[in-house]
Amino acid sequence: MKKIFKFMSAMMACAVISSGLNVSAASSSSSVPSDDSVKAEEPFKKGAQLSYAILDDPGNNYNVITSNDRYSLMTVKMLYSPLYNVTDKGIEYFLADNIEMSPEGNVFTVTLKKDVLWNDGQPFTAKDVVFTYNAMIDEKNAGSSRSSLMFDGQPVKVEAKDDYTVEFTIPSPSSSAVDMFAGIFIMPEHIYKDVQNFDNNDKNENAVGTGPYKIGEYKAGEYVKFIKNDTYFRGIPKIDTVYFRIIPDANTAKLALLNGEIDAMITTPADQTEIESHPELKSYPYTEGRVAYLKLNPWNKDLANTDLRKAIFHSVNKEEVLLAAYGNPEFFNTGDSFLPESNSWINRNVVKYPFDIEKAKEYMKNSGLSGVTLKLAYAANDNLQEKQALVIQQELGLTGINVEINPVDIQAFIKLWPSKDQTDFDMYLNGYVMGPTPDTYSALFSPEGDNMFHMENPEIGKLFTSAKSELDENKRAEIYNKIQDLVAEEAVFLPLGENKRILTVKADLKGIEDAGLVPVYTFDDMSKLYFPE
Amino acid sequence: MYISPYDAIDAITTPNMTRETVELLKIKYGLDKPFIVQYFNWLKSFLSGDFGYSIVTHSSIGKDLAARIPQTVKLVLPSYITAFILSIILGLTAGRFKNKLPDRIIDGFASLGLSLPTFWFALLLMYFLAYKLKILPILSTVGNGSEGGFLNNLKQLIMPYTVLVVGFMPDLIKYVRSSASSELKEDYVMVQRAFGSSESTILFRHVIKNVLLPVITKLGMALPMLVTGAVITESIFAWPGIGPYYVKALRGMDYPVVMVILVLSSSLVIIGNLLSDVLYYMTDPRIK
Repeated sequence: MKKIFKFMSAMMACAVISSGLNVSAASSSSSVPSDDSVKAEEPFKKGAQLSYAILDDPGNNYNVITSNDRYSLMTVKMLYSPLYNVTDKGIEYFLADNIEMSPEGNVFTVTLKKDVLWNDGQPFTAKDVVFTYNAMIDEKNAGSSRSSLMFDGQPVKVEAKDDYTVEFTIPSPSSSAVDMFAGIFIMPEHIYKDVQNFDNNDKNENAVGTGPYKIGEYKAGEYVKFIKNDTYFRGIPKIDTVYFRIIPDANTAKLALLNGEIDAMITTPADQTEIESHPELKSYPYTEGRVAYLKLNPWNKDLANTDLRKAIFHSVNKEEVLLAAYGNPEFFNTGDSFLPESNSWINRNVVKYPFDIEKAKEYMKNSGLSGVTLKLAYAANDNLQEKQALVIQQELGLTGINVEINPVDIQAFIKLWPSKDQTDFDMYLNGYVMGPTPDTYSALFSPEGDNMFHMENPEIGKLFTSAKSELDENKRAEIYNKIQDLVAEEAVFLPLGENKRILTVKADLKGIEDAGLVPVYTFDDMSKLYFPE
Repeated sequence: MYISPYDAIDAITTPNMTRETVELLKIKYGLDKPFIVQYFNWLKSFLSGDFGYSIVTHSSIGKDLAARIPQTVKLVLPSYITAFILSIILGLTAGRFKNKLPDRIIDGFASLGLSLPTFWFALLLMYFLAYKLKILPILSTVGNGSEGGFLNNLKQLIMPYTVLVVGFMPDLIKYVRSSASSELKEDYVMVQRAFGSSESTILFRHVIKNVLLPVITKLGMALPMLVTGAVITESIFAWPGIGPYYVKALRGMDYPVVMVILVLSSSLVIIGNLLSDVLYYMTDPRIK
C-alpha cells in the first residue's frame, strides 16, 4: 500500500510543485497571441543575447535518459532534438521526416532527415536512434520515458532498416503508439556507446547534440550559458548567446525583469498589473493543459452519499473559484471534462454539474443529511489554491455544508491522499498536467490502472483498454467521449478548468509564435526567437 | 529525512512514470534499502573522499561545493569581519555611555536589527537601491553585455554585504555592550580613572582586553557561518553560494547533498570550538 501512496505522491508532488511538469512523450503546444512580428525575412539584431530566469540550478549533468527535473529538461531541450513531438495540433517533426503505421497497426516506420549533423561534425543516423531508444528501454538505466515504450508488458523493438529508416514494432496494434514514441531526445551513439552509467559521466558535461544551442559554460548557482549551434538543421539560431540565469527567489527575479536585467521569465497572474505599467515588457499567457480540480474522498462516510456529492458539485461556481485565484478570465478557462480545454479529444457535451444553488439544495435535501462538515486540503505554500479554497468554503456554505479549510504541507498532502485507511480529509484541491495523449489519463481514471481518482465503474477501465487498440479515429473519439461521461457520472472528481502559464518577455523579443510555447520547456524551438535590428 | 513519507525520487518522478519506473529509480539510488544500509553505503564513499552525486540533478557534489563554498566565503567573511569590528566599537561606546543618548541610539539599533527579518530588509534594499534608484545591479552583470570586471563584482556585493553586516551586528553589539558595562564597574577601571587616564584610553586599552575574551569565543563559534551563514541572503540575491544549493537539496530530499553540507558545517563547529580555545589562550596568557 505504501508503494501506491508513493506513486500517487509523486504525481501530486509534480502537479503542485511545478504546477505542471510533464515529461510525457508528447508535449502540447498551443496558440499564442500574435506578436505582430513573424515576417520571416525581418532583419534581426546580430550578436544578440537573451537571459531567461530559472528558479533552480539545473546542475551540469544533462542526459536525455536520466535528466528529469524541469530545468535540466529545459537544458536538454536546448542541446538535443527528438524525432518528433505530438501536440494538440498534430505531429511536429524534428529529426524525423515522417512516421507511417502499417495497416495492422503494430509496425511503425520512421524516415529520418538526412544531412543532420551532431555539433561535433559527425552525421546523425538511424544508429543513434536505435541506441537511444534501447538505452531508454534498458531497465538498469531507469529512463524517464521507459514506461511509454512498454506495450502489454513488452518493450517496443527498434531496428535500423538503413541509415535513415527506423522501424518500431510492438506486440499488438496500438492507436497511441505514435504518441508514445514522441518527445524522446536522441543522443549520439559515437559519444555514449561505451558509457556504463548515463547518470554521472564526463560526457554529460560537454553535451554533443543536434539541438539549436551548444553548451557554453556552466557556473554553479549563477547561470548556464548556451552558444548557437551553427549546424542546427532547422536553421541557425538568430540569438547568439542564451543564458539561463539561476535566481532562486521569485521576487528577486521579478525585480530583475522589471529592471531590465533579464529578458524573460514565467510570471504569475498577480504580477500582471505591475508588468502592464512597464511598456517595455509583454506577457504571453499560454496553456500547459493543466487541469485544476476538486477531488472528493469517497471513503468518508458522508461522501459515500451520491446526493451529497452532487450537492457539492452544483454549489461550486467554477468561474468564481478560478477568478479568485487568477484575477482575470484571460488566464483560465473553466472546464467540465478531465481533459483540458486545449485537448483535441475533449467531449464538449460531457455530463455537467452547472452552478445551481436550488438544485444543490434539492440534492442536499434528498441526501437526508444536515449539518455536514467537510475538511478541504490544499498545498500550504500555494496562495492560488488558498484563494480557491476560500471561495469554495463560502459557496458550499450557501448550501448548508460547512467547510474547514486545511493548508497542508506538500509532503503531508501526498501522504494524506485518500484511500480506504486514509480519511483525514474529505476534499482535495490540486491540478495535473498529463499531455495531449488521452491514453495517459488511464493512470488517473482507469480502475484497471493506478486509478488515482478512485473510479469504481469497471466499464471505464474496459473502455480505456479498447480505445488503446482502436485504430479508427472516429470510433476512438466515441469511446473517449463515453469515458469522459462515465468519469463525470461517478461524481467524485470535479474538474474546475484549465489555468494558463504566463511568459513575460521584453516587448522587442520577437518570433515567439514560431518558437512555440509548450509545457515544461517553455519554448519548443528557441532558434526562432530574435530581436529585430 | 528517512522517516518522511517522501523522498528524492518523488521530487523527480513525473505524472507519466508508472509505479514500476518509480520503483526502478528507487532501487537504482538505493532508496529501497533500510536506513542503516543507506547510511553505511554513504559513509563508506564519504570516507573514501567521494562525496557522491545529487540524486535530483545528477551533478557531482564535490564539484558543486568547490564552486560554491568560495562564493559564500567571499560574501560572509568580509561581512562578519566588518560586523565584528563595528560591534566592538559600538558596543564599547554604548557600554561607556550606558543609558545615555549614544547608548540609546546604539542599543535601539541593535534591538531593531534583532527583530528585523533578513529577507524583508534584503527586499527593501533591493527595491530602493536597485529598482527605484537604479544605483546597484540586482544580479551579477553576466549576460547583460558588460561582463565581469572588478567594479561590477564589487557593486553586486554591496547589497548582500550590507544585509549581512546589519544581520550579524545586533547580537554582537548587545554582547559587547553588556560585558563592557560590567567591566566598567570593575576596580581596575576606578584605579585607572584615579590615575587620571582618559576615558578612551581606559576603554580601548584596558577594558577592551577583558571584553574581547568572551567575544573571541564568539568569533570561533562563527566559523560554520562560512558555509551556512547566509542561506536566506544568498537565496534572495541569487548569490551562487551554498545557501540556495542547500535549500534546494532540503526541499527535494536530496539526501547526499544535505548530508555533505551537514557534515561540513558540523565539522566546522568542532574546529571553531578548538579555534576559540586557542584564541582564548592567545589573548589571555593567564589561561594555560
